[in-house]
Amino acid sequence: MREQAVWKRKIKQFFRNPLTVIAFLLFVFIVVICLCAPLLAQDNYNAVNVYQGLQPPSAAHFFGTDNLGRDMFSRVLYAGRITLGYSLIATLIAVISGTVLGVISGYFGGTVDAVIMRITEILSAIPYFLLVIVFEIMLGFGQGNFKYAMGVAAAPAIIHMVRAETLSVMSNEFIEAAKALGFSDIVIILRHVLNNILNSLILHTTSTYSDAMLTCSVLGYLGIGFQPPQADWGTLVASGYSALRVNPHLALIPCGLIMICVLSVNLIGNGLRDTLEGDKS
Amino acid sequence: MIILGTDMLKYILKRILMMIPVILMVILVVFLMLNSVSFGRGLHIHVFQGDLLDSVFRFLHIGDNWLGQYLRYSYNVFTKFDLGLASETNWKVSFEVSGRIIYTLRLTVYGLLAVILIGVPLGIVSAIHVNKWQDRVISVLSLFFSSIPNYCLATFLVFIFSLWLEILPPMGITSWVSYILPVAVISMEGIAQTVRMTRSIVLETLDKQFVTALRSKGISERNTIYKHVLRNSLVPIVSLLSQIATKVLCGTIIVETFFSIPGIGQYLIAAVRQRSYARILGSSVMIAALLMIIDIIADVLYLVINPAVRANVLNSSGKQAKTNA
Repeated sequence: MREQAVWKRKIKQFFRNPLTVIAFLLFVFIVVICLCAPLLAQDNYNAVNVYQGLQPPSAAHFFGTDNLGRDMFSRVLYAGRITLGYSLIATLIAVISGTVLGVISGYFGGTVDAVIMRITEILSAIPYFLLVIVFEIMLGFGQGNFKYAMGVAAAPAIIHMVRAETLSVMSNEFIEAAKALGFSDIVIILRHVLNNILNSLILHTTSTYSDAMLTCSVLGYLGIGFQPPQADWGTLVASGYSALRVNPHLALIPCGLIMICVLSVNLIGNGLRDTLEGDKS
Repeated sequence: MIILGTDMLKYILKRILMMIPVILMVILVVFLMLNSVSFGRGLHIHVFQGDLLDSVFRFLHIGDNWLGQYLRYSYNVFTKFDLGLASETNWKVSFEVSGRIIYTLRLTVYGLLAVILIGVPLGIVSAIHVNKWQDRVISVLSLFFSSIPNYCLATFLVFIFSLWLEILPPMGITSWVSYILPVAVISMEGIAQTVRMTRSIVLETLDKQFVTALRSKGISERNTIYKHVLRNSLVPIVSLLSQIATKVLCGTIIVETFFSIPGIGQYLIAAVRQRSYARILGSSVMIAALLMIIDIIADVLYLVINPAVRANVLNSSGKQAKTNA
């Protein structure tokens, strides 16, 4: 009963900031539109029609056509599915593996902790972007493997965060009490440790997600993410860039979409932080 | 000068020596990952047959065990600054990279300067006028610019300044004008972050008791801020420098590719596209080493401006120095 009331209040507080609401609605709108891509697409996104290349926006093609005459609107929708979906997968990989390893490392300590920390230290000596590229090479190009690469490369930061939070939770007396009452480690971790680090975990998830979107589109832009004819928003920017003088919207529309998505996820994160941390004080 | 005395030199030397194990680790990770796929090596020498193939393999140490290869590579890196042989051109990677470092360094230094000269003052303005319109505008802008991917901003800027207004070149490096767009792109995210961090640091300082004491003594607001608050905020701001420098240097990878600047980042991306094993390994090591050097410079700068930490670090043993720095 009381739990529900707390959540209701939190949700209400979250939607009190107009900026957060706008960001939330925009992001949901873009996600829904991308999910409904098969229904909304005006044309097959890979159908080449060279005679209709580089058309300006019209009723038949909302965003015009690209240099090979492919319908840009459908391409943007399908690319959005890839950018948003793959970043989500990468984020989930990073957050889940980071939480598991971080909690184990912080809770049990000792040799396990030492081994996990050494490995994360070695991985964090290499810049994030470089690590993604190297992982991607290892896993193989062009099959969308970079989602795993992004996930693994983002994990060390989360492991560090979760471990530090776990250690600070572990110093509380209720953990000692739970141990004294004879609860098993798994119960303590699930019920007490995870509950207490949930706030910072949620915040890190949003920032990891916006980072993953950036990285995903950058890889696509550099031509080392998805290989044609599949496309994500970064690839679309890269291919539209060559027609920047004739048809600037080809590059600028996917650019704008990435910006809106990253910005709104950041704003949602800010709103969450205000809600969750305001609750604490 | 006391600042650059023997203690300081010792400290710098210690930090440089501590780079070696980290670089070894970086080489190991990149090496193992690249080793697990065997593209590139031997791909270009399939034309050879029989004995010739064997001798070429022996010359390039193909088929040796990976530990031997790793040890030989690391040995060559540290003793001869030899980053391997690019199989496409048969040139040494260190030779190919050496001409490119200067562009990357220039971009990084200009970018950092822009971050410091624009980000810090804006953050201070934002903190002094907290919750007024100046603060609101700066906060919204900094959130906005920190959310734009580098290459999206670059596309917009090229569209506006190169194609529409036609005042700045869209790519390449010819004169100082060519640096304006890349540096703007590279520093934007750093500026946005610095503004936010400087704002919170200055706000924290303004909250301290000595500021209240100064104000109650009747010292003018201008004097309080410029003479006391800023000097006290400087130390934490400088401690953020290495973090920002890392961001800027990583940004060069994308920006160099976008603006066709012949730096290390562009070299790395080209190598990845060509699946060129030695080049990827070599340029990764170079970038990691550059990052560490920048980190050392930032830490030394931090010690120079902060006498308290300096005394603590320079007079203590090596282990403590590491944790403090």
